Amino acid sequence: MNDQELRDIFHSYRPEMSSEEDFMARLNEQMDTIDASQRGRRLRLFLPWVSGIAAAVAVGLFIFKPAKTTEPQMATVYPYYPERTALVMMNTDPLASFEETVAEIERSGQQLQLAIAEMK
Amino acid sequence: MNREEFTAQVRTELYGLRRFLLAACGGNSQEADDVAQEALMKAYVASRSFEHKTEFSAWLYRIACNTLVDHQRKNSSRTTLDINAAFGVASGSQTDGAFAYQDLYRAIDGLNVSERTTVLLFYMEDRPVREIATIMNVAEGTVKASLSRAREHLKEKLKEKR
Repeated sequence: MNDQELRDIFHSYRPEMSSEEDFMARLNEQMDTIDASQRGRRLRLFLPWVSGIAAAVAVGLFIFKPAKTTEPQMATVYPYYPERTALVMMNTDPLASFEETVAEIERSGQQLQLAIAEMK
Repeated sequence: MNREEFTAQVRTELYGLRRFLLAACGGNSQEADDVAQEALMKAYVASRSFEHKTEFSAWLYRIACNTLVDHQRKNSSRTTLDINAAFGVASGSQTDGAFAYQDLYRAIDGLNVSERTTVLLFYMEDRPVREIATIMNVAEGTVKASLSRAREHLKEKLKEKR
């Protein structure tokens, strides 16, 4: 028996096998299962990162959020002129009318001129 | 490689792969298909990192051969379906039907896993020695030596039957 005869024997091997479509259907089912488990795995890997980032953002907001204060924001503008500071505070009233605001500005101007005159 | 590409590539290799595994499993089609499914699942999981410069067929057969070796190591009590066992087999799905290749299975079964794989890849799948060496992750000389031993064994066994 030579090599070619051996080859012929193996080439004539044509066994009956189950349907290729059935085999592929089973394979597709298994691939679906693998895809689903990999999606779940990716999610499980990703979840701690998302939680960590969310926690870090929350902590950051809590720490760096400017604290609310009862002190007027403009108080430091005129530290040596309490009456002027009070005037500025009055001007910050959002409900003040246009005329009132203009009058305040005029008064402020006059007081500023007086203050400058005093300084001279 | 995505799922569609993988499925398309598998379809081109499927008949040859199943026939190879069926012969390697001594005609037990259930066992052969189980090994094929397991190998294809391993290949599918690994396919995302598959490099296109590698030949898909050789890569797939390599996974199949490793799976086959693992499977047969686990089921070391595996025996070739004997002609006498045919009376006890009700369904053709367990074997390749008419036991037409029983002599061939007996001859192959006398080989060790490495020789059996080499012979099937060389004579049945017409793979060159270089490719068989790649598939089995051994040197070409090892493949040639394995083929030589297997050839003598097969000639002797198959001649007896003629």
